[in-house]
Amino acid sequence: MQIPNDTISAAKAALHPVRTNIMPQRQKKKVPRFCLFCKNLRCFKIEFVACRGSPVSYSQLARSIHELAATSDQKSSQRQLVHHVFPKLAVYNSVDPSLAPSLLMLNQQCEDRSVLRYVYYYLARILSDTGAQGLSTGGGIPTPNWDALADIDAVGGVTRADVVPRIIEQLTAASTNSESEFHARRLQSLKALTYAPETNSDVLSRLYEIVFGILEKVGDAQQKRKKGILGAKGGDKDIASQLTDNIINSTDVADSQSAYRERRITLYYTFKTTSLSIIRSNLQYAALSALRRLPLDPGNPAFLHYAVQGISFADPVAVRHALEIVSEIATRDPYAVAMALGKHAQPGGALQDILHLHDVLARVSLARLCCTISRARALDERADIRSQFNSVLYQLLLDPSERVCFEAILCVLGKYDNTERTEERAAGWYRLTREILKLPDASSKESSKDKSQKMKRPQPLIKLVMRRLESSFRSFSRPVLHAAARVVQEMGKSRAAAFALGIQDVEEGAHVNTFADSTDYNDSDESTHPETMLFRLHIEFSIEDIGIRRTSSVSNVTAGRDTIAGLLASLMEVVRTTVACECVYVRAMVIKALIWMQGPYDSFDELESIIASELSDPAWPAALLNDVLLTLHARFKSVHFPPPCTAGIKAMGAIKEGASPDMAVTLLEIARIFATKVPGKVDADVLQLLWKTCLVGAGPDGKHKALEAVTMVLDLPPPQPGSMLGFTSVDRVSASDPKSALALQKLVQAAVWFLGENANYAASEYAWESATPPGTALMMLDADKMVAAASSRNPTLAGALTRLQRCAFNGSWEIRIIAAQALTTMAIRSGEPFRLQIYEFLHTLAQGGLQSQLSDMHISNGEDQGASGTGLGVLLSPMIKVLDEMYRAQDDLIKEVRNHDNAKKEWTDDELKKLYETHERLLDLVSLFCYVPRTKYLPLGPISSKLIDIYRTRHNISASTGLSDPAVATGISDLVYESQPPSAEPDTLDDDLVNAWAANLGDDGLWGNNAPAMNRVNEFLAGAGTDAPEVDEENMISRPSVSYDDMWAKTLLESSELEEDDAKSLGSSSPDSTGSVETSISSHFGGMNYPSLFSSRPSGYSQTTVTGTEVPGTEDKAPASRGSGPSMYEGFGGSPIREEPPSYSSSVMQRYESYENPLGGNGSHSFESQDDERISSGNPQFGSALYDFTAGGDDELSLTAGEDVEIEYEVDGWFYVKKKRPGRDGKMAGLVPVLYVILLSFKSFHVLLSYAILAFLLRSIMYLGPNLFSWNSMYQFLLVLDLGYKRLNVGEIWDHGSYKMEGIEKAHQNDDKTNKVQGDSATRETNKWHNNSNVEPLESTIYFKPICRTSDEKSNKEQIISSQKSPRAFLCFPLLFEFTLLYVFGSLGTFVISTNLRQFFEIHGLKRFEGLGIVVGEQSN
Amino acid sequence: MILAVLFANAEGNILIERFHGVPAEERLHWRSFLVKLGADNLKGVKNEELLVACHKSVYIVYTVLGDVSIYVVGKDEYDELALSEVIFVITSAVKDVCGKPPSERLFLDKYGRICLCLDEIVWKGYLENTEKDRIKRLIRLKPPTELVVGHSKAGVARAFWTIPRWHTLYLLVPAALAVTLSKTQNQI
Repeated sequence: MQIPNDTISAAKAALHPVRTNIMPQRQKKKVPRFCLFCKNLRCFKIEFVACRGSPVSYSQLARSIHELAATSDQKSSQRQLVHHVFPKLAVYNSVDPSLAPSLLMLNQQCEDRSVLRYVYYYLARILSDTGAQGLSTGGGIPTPNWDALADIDAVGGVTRADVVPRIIEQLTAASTNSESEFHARRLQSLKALTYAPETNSDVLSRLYEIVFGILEKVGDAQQKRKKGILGAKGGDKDIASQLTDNIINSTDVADSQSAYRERRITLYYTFKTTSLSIIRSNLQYAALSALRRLPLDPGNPAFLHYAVQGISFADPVAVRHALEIVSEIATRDPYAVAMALGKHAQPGGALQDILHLHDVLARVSLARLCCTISRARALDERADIRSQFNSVLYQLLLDPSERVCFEAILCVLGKYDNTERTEERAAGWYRLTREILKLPDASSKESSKDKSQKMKRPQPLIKLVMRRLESSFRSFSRPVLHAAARVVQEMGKSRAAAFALGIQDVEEGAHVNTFADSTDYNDSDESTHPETMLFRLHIEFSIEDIGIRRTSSVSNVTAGRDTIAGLLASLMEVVRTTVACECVYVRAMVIKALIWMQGPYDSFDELESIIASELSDPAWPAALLNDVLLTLHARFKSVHFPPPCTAGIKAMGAIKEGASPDMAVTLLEIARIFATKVPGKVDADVLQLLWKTCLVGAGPDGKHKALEAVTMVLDLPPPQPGSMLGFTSVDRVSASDPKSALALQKLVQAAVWFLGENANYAASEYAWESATPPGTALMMLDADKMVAAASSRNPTLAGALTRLQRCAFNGSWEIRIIAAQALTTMAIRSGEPFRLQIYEFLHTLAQGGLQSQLSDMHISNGEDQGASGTGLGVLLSPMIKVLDEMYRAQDDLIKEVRNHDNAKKEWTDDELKKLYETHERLLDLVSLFCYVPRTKYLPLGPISSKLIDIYRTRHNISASTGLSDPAVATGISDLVYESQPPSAEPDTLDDDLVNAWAANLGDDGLWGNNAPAMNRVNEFLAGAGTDAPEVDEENMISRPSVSYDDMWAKTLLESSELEEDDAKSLGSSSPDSTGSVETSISSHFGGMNYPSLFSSRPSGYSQTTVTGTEVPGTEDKAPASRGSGPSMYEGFGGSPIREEPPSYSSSVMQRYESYENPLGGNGSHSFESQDDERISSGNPQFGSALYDFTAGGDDELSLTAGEDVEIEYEVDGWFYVKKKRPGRDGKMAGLVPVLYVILLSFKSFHVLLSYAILAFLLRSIMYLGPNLFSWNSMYQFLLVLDLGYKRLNVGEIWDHGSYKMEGIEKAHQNDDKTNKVQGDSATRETNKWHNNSNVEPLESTIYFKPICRTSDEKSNKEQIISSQKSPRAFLCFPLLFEFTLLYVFGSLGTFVISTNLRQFFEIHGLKRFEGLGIVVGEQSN
Repeated sequence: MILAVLFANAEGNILIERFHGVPAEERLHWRSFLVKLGADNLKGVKNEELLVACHKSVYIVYTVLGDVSIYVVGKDEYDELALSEVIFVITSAVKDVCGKPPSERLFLDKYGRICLCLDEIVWKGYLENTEKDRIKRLIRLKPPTELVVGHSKAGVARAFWTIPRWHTLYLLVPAALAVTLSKTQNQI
């Protein structure tokens, strides 16, 4: 091919000014420098240094090539190219196409081999450079100086599209050149050609053509592989004589001396023949290598034909490629391959020869090929073929190379890729333990005579494998150790599969040689074939059979060395010692192997101790540890949940169930070791996955144990950053640094969460499935007895409850919060008396006071929660409120039922409607806290089921009606967003479901595919499970703990405020907003994405919530701050002597009136307003107008400075805000510039706070000394602030202490009295009272007002500081103030701590300050 | 599939890298992962001592040779043992080109030939040639198998004649001695 002259001249023009003397003549004494060429990739590339110290740039190199190519006939040019230019060019990962013309010219004109070799190299690189200037497939780094090349490109106008066809053309021409002298270049041309992009079908077809053409010419001659070069045989000579005419074209051989002529000619022929066969072999090699790089063409008979032909080629590499191709085709079409191989597989055939071929990968491919064909179902009819390949495969077990031997073992074990099924693995284990290797009588003996004599007796495979593995484990090479451990792991997998299918149990204790003897005579018997055997097993085994055999195998485990068990034991001994390897990757693999080899009946102790001691090594990377955890998970799953296969296997279900609980508990134990030893490295998600699988897998009997194992994590002492010394025990936490201490805390959180989510599942206790609802007598018991009764009723749940209660008191701040949430979840899901018990507990928790009672079981962690309880009140109030709502509604219902019964009235439709609406509303509320099956859950108690059913049938409402209802939509969206598989949904918890689910579980990353949520949504749509449990009449009254008179009075009270509720208050306290309380809370902790058997993952975050939470919190707090702990307790329910359960305490109930009262006449109204509110509810944030803003358009909103607004969303620098009340222009909502509104979200304030606190901490350390300072308290305090700020809306905390609250309290007290006195007329009276009241209405105080005060803190300051009634009043602002003061005056040596701060210290038990006499009481000014 | 072959110097600068079938966006991850692996584990390791690691289902074998550390990443049939073979071929080729375990400087001096060797050893993600001689021939654009007989005879002759005459004594005398010795031993 001619290079167009203009291109060359252009290239020459481009490099005109540069001479070749830029080339370094010598590079000695110059140390190459590294420079950062490609900064974005952080890849250092070599920059060569020229002799004068200036680096050779790419463009210089390019020019040199152009120039030297023009003079390539000169020796000096060639030398420069080979020694200087080309090596330097190699540094660049891609070669730009403008070099191609010169390279092609060199290819055509240059004779120098070294130059040409480089030319082929670069042509290949240009071809493989797929992208236009992008990343090449071969390298990855774009040429750094690409920009500098732009000029060359511009001048030459050479693009890749231009040169590639030329290159391909030239290479094609070269690779079809059949001259014998040229054949070395032909090989390289062909090689370079394979780099052409595969997307180009034209090139591909041309390549196929070339390759097949070569193979057609050189491939068909049958020739034996020669041992040596001179071993040419007669056959070659014949061929040579035939072909001589073509080859001999010179007469220099002909000798005039006739005496020697004949001999010389013979010699010459021999020589030529040999060289001819060598050329042929080279061409074969090149063609097959190229074929290997071409895409597989399974349907093409020519492809297969040539590949099979290649197996008998002389060149070992060619044979390897041929085998690889054949084995790949065999996976798709085993029958065709087996037929094509035909004689090759027979004894003495080509495949037998490969056994002795000196190419490891060729033998590996042979193993794969044999494996594929001998397992092929398509060859069921041809047992002879299969046994031929099997025998080759078994012979490969004796291969000297570990790689080949291990591959053969894996093939025997049934591991081909990662998709094999359990039966295949089980059959693999059966094969390994039962099959015999009988060496064929073929010629293989002479190569290893002594060995074959030793092997004369047929050897059981298992024995061979075990010996081989044992010797491999003595190797010093880490790859060998790693691979051996991996093989053992695969053995374990197959064994586990066999266990799972019940095959293994048959005879592990049996003597291996017995199989050898027994199969001697029936070797060809079809019945010995593992697959057949497996089939028979399925059919014949009865459960009892297996049971008997299992016991026998267990008793035989300790039998002699020659039993399988004995062999395994000795292997495992060797494996265990390998744990001492210094390479963690090897160790990890060994541990995984140990995990997989763990039988269900073996003791876990050893594994446990190994893992425990291993984990102390800090060298373990987190990824490996999690990998080990996942292995544990997979191991457990494989035993208990084999993928559903045949019916016969299912029948053996009893076996797999057998050992599960123990194993689950042991696994959990190991998981606990992980959690405690390396909390910083273990992924909480992985751990939870394991927990969950174990819990589900433990079966009905083991659930309790499994849950107990999880709770062990809870019993760990909390990390104490202050005192880290002296942790030596295994059971103690190894949280040696703050980071891992925090990680441990996260784990404990995960455990608490897990407990809350799954306790009900573990305990099989569901409110909607309560088999025996508690009788009246139970409910009338006092608290202690109730607890006792509860624990006798369901010890699992009671145990979990106790743990959670303890966590709610003892844990760190986050743990307490999660514990509270977990308790709520349990309360909602459990029936009585658990719900009541939790309710009572939550109340106490919210108000404090129980501490003293529980102090005996309180392991102090250096802090005291103080009189305010745990400070969780704010958080707890929405939870309590929901429970309150439920109880109240239940009471109402009972009362109504009684009324109707007494009056012998039928329920009217209106009443039913009201009831139904209440039911739905409560469902909404509840399902915002945690997942409950909506179709079954009865928030109004079992008695409501009939009435609701009546209403439903009457109005033809199925469970799916509510779809248009936003509330239901919310519920569904909750479910849709859940990211985990459904969770053994309690109501449909049959084995199949659990199995299927758990089978899916292991495929990490496949969560998305399960789409469990969609199932549930479909379930919703289909109205599945609408049948609520039938409840007996006698159980109807589930909570008759209060006299009806009381209830009567209460109902009256409750309805009192109804008419008052204006739209505003209703809106802000809609169920939605309550839901978002939960939402925000759980989204805070939900960041961990805990998987759970249930799903409660509300999404989104809203601050409206606070508005709803306000009310109960107010009242709860106020007395708490006044009274001391115990008296508090007395006053508030939960006292043993109280007659009334606390849930009915009127003082608590009352403030929910703003919520809405279902019994009130305005119920429907309230619903409407709720709906309105729901629609508009996004994730509003609150802000305050900084400046006056005048609306400039219709969609804009005027603002007055200081006005508080609710920000709906932001768009392009504008906020869409809503005002509380319409402004002058009468508009409520609209757009305002972002800059005009200051966000009252936590950022700005938080920064300030943290700054102040930091200052405080510094000061404290400075003055008190680090040891005396209570870190724990400080940490908690920080969390209080953080939490309080983030989700409880500063404003709320703020205002609790304000005098306004006192007013409201009084109002409510009055309200109480009024109601009591006035009885029936309470409603009207209260309304009147409220209207006349000089105290501001409740909502105006609580809701948005406080928020705006953040902007004018100073005016509020005094109010807040002066209020000393609320324990929460100090939480935010006063401290900030104090700390700021501290910061300012601290440097002057003055401590400023006001009484307010002192109170904080007192409450939180920070007596130390006092003890030091430093702080408290001292007050400057 | 051999996913990557990487050469780095002691400081973790990458000298040569060849990726096969690794998406461009993953390459950075692999580079840093491997370099970190080497920095963590290759301190004080003997020449050609093989180290192993795995990352998910991908195997890594790496070693140090002179000043250069070599990483090979593979999956599927290229497990840790197959990669050991690959790395063995690579190290012996490099040693062959450089004449000894290379210093960084030597490595860079021979950079071009090393690249050619690598080209012959790993071809589109598969191991190709494993024999040292074969590789040596191929990078000189000679066919992989040659008629060694003729060449070697001629080579011996040429070598013989290049030796100064009187030096042949040193060659011949021990040979003769050996022959006589073996004869006497046979007699005994």
